[in-house]
Amino acid sequence: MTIQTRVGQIIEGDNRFLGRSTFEDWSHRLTAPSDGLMAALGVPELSTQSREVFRLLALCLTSPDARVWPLKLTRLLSSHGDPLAGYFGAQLVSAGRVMGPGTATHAARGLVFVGQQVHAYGDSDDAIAVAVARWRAQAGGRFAGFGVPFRAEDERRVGLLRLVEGGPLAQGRYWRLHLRVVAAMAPLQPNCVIALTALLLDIGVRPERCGMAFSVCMAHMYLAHALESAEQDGARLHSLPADAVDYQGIPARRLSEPGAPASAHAALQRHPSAILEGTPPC
Amino acid sequence: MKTWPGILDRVAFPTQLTAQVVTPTADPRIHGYAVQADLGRHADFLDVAWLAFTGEVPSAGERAALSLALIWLAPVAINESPTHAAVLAKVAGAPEEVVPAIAAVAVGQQTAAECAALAPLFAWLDAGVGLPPAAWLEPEPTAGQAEAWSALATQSAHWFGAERALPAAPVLRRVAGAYALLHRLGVRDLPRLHALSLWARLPTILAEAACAASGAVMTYPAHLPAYQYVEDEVGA
Repeated sequence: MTIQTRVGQIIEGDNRFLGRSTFEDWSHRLTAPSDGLMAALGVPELSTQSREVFRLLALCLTSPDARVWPLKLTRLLSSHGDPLAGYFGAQLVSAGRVMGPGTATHAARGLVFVGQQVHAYGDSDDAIAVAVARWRAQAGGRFAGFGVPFRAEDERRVGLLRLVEGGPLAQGRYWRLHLRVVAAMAPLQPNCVIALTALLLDIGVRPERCGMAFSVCMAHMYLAHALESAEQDGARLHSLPADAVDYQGIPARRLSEPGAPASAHAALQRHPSAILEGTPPC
Repeated sequence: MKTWPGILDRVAFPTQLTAQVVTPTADPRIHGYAVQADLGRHADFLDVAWLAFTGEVPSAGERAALSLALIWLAPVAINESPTHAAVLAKVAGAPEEVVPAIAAVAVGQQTAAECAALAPLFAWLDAGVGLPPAAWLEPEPTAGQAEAWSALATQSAHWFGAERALPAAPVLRRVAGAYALLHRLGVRDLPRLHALSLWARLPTILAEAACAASGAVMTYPAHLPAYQYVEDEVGA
């Protein structure tokens, strides 16, 4: 019945976290809050390189427009005044696999698959193209991390390429592989997810944890919107005017109308209130 | 103040929210029926819930089958994760307004797992031949359970017809029986399965949570189950 955990324990005079003393070890290793997040995600080494990857994640995932759907949701949930409700409630959206952080896990699995195929069958451009096609075939035709809505190219990936180019991160195995996958996927446009996922894989984040890594690195946007909405949005979000709604459902009808469905009549026959009122239900 | 032209400013989005179920009127209509003038006088809540999910009020058979399915789904004991989570949330000091949200998250996870595990049962129901999957059979039904299942099987012939009736034996587990009824009622899509599962279970979960004292951490069995922190040997 006992469950083993490697996360942590409160002990006399100290706390153990992920195999180390909080005040004798982590106190030197943790230089910023993001270091703790990296450790929790299982990044094997808190290095200059891994810190730069997380800095780039937070930077390039900053798409803070209030109309971006999960952020609008944050504002809706916070609008009664509690920013925590919006901050944490809205982030459950991140569990999705089609949009947002969840796509990073899928992109990571794709890159790992292509990497394994290349390792087994050679790394020519043709081999990459075959591996990409195989992955798409088993992933429902998709390769997560591609597709750019509303604009010609993803400004976040463009910025990221500029920041990584020529530096040590550009030497990473998955970074280099992702560039070749992008070439194989042309003319489909890559977005920042495929590039950032490659960086995560290069610093040792497991594919299934890449989505969570994205989530925690996007938290600052949720936080800013939650705090602002809790302070100011209020009634403007609580109830929009009725003319903001386009009702496309079933037109007005009555249970007692002759045209009402037979099932309605059946339900009414048994209904106590109809009997008590002494009025026939139909 | 300075403003900027944004990418989303030049995208043509709809200008209204689209509604399919409820009209935003003084006396709202649910799938066309006025709530105060009509449904409130001539229907009860089970009718309205079925109406919301299907677009029509239930027949007598649908109503009885739905009621039984929801009753069988309703109990979530404190040793099950949704109620445990809701009570633990109270113990940890969660305000009342978020306890239902925490319970709903836990029920969603439970329902998703159930629906995945029930796939063989649903396939058996569709095929209509052979025995139900063994994993969903009540291993040692009590006399009450056997009697209840027998009654359900008899009633199911009235509700769904002899061909689609559930077999009198073997006895399905309570939760499997509930989902089998929903399946026979045509509730086979995940949105409605989640909705009905949540609706059925929230009353008992939140009732249990309501009995827990907020912040009463010393009344909670922290060692149930026990956790043991371990560290791997360096170099292992």
